[in-house]
Amino acid sequence: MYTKNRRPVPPWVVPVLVAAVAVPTFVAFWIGGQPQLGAVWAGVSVAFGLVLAVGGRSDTIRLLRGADDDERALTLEYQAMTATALVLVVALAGLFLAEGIRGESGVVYAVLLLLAEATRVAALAVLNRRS
Amino acid sequence: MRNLIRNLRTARGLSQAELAAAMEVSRQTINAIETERYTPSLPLAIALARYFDSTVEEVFRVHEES
Repeated sequence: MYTKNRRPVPPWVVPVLVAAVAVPTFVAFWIGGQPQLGAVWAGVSVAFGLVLAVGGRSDTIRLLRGADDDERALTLEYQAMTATALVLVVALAGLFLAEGIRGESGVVYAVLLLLAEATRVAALAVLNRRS
Repeated sequence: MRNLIRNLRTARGLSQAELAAAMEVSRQTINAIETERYTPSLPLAIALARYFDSTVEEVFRVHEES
């Protein structure tokens, strides 16, 4: 029915993707000469993937896995992504200011903040034309 | 948004899971609608009303301040 917007995601997809992040993580740190640290971060990814895989009784885990693919799940997903973006932007702004206080350029955080705002402006422009 | 979904569902002897399957949404979504934690989209509201041979206005009531 029209209340379903996408094909349901098989329950193993998200846990596998999350756990798979461990591979490039470990390789990147291994190339950088810190394989032990890479193993730690890779372990974090695998652990999160396992939690997603075995936490079937939790509604939150089911939402994270994309198991409940209906309009309410999509609404919750959008709201969660909005909260995530807000936290990230506030954190970036704080780090940018901290860089300034330390006498650094803060260019990395400035570029990320500009990217975030440019994305918001572009998204609003496109969505406004479509609706 | 007040609604009569729970009354209509139980009057027909349906479980939340059965109504959810008929509407092709999750059981959690039906529960959230019944407990008025989630306001369904217009298409879903119409589908629910039609399922119970009723109208949207009869099934859903907006909170009106007195």
